[in-house]
Amino acid sequence: MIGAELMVQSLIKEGVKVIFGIPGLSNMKFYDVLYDYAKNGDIRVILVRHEQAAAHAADGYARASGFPGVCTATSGPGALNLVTGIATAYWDSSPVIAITGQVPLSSMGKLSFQEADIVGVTQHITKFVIRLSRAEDIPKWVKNAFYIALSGRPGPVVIDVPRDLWTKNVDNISFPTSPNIKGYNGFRLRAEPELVKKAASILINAEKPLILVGAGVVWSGASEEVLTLSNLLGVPIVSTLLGKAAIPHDYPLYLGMLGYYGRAEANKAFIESDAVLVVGARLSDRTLPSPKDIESKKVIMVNIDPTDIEKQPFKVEVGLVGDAKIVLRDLINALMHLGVKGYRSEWIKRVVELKEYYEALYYRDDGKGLKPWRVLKTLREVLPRDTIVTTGVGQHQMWVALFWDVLKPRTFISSGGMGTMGFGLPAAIGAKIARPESTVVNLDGDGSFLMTANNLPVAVEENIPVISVIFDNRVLGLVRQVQELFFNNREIAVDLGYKTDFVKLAEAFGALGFDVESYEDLATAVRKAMKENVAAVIRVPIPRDELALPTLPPGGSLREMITRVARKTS
Amino acid sequence: MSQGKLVKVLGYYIDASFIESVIATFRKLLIDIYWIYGRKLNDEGLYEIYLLVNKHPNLKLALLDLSKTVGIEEVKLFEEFGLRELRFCSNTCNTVADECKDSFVLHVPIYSRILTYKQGEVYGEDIPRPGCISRRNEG
Ligand SMILES: Cc1ncc(C[n+]2csc(CCOP(=O)(O)OP(=O)(O)O)c2C)c(N)n1
Repeated sequence: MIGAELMVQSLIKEGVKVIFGIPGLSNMKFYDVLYDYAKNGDIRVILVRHEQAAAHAADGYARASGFPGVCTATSGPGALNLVTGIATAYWDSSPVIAITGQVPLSSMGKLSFQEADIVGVTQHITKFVIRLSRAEDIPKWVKNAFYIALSGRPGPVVIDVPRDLWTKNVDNISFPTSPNIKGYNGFRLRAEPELVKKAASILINAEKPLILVGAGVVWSGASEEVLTLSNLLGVPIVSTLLGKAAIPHDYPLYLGMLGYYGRAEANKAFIESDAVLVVGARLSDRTLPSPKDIESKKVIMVNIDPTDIEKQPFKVEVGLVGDAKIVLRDLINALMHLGVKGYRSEWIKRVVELKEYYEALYYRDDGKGLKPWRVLKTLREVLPRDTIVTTGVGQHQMWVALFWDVLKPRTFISSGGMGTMGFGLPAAIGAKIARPESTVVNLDGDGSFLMTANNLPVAVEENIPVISVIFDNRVLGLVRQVQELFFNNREIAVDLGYKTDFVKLAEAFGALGFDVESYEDLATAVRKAMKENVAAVIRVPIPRDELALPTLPPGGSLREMITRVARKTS
Repeated sequence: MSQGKLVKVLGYYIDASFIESVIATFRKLLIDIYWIYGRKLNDEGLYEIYLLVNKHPNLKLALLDLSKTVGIEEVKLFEEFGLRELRFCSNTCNTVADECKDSFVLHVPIYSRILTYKQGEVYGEDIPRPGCISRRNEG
């Protein structure tokens, strides 16, 4: 059996059903073997229009399904085009597996045609990268790659395959049944019972406790446990951006996203709380812009990755290393055992007060153009509960973070840590393939959409009916906002002009295009797009000067949150 | 330089990227490396690397990150240590030389406390210390 066949069979044995990528000289034989498997329906091969989209699509697939997404590219430019997508997956702990072609072993390091040192390039943006040197090692490293990608803190893995290995004959074939990686034992799953007890007693004795959930809750499937805990103790919940995907937002004690662009009530409640249970969140500088905001609190951290607990610049009262689901179950048991004190009516009253106060502030409409919050409320009303939403990066992403109500776990997918514009459409394509029964909507900015809109034909030609809703403010809005607020209105290099016609662009690629002018139009367009069940682009005009608030001044803490901006009227 | 921190990394070599990844973990966190010494220990690819690095607020993070890197078995930080300097003359049959143009220097660690970082967790250990130490270096 040749190396390429070994690769395809190994992937199928792992359960791979789809590969996103583009063929070229160095992965040609891989595709040649895929030909028969694709024809038989054993695997689906999706041709993207730029490799960045292959990595994002694999990432979207992984985040929607919980199973690693696979992408491939040829050596040199192909593999290098994957880089942004791989880094995006790494920063958000998403299990993407990239199989890159490489020049033959004998040509490596010699500035050969389409050669790029992919091990060197991706070493620091992957959980693991390996350049293979023997075809017989393919099954072993595919098995290992899946284990590494999905175990502990998930993350991307790159397997770089020199071209000569694809065609190399291997006689003694063996497909391992379990991974075998020296120097990788995964993290432990269960925290020490003594520490769990200590955490329980902190939570019982706290007057104003809060739960902060991150993406770890999504990966561990611990949403239910978080809700049980919140219910049991009467503890409000806030989340990180990616943690939004963990909590159904109609849960009455959920206050929204915390952080730099977080919901004001979430930020305020966080500031006022006296104990915080942080579950599956690493507390990035976006979630917690300043350690000042947490220093006086009793902090309990639950994380599969102990380094996330060890590295905090503030005191962590109790660090519970383990899988969120398992640790929270133990914590719930410990609480039951210790005897729960009952509802904190004062604290809950205060939190509800904050919620009502800020809601009145957000949900205003001066009638000048379409309001992002109303656009999102309109969409929520028309779209099914299990709709999966992806985003680009910018103001629209923050509006979605603030105003889009996630109702089912794993239905919100966004580039958090890397903040990669262009993520939305390809991630939506991947998510739709992972979950074909769900409606998938890419809520995008005009700038972000145009970064990977060349992949619209992928959705059209491959019959992947994703809907892109473009928040079209004709500007790189978030950058413009920062220039207005913190660079003294010196707006430069942000205007996208008025000539781009998103409807024509959609139609040129064979997608449905809609231009909407009212909330009713929007609802109609979405219904039509869902009914037609084809790729669609809906352009929603948003006033150029609309702001994404709250925000913080550069380097500020949550206490310096800006919720309103007074503008001079000319 | 004498104020440095002594680190030992034990991991599995697949190719030279193993060494790169160790070094780059310090580079990324702005930590300088004063000297480095490493070797393959067995046919399984087990590899040890000793590094004297500068004292830096990011050091703990670097060690935590290293300890959870795929392929790395454990990382040791010598908390209380001294270095015994052995100077050899290169390209001669003399084993030890006080003065020679082209010398080869080895720093033998002598220590009494080690912190071990394994899969992102830290364990401390006290070790009886031999009396032959000439210079303490507890950075
Ligand atoms: C690939 C990439 N380049 C640049 C940036 C910096 N950046 C952050 S937000 C933003 C503007 C985004 O514009 P758009 O997608 O139109 O969204 P809006 O803010 O208008 O909603 C830019 C340029 C980025 N995050 N990603």
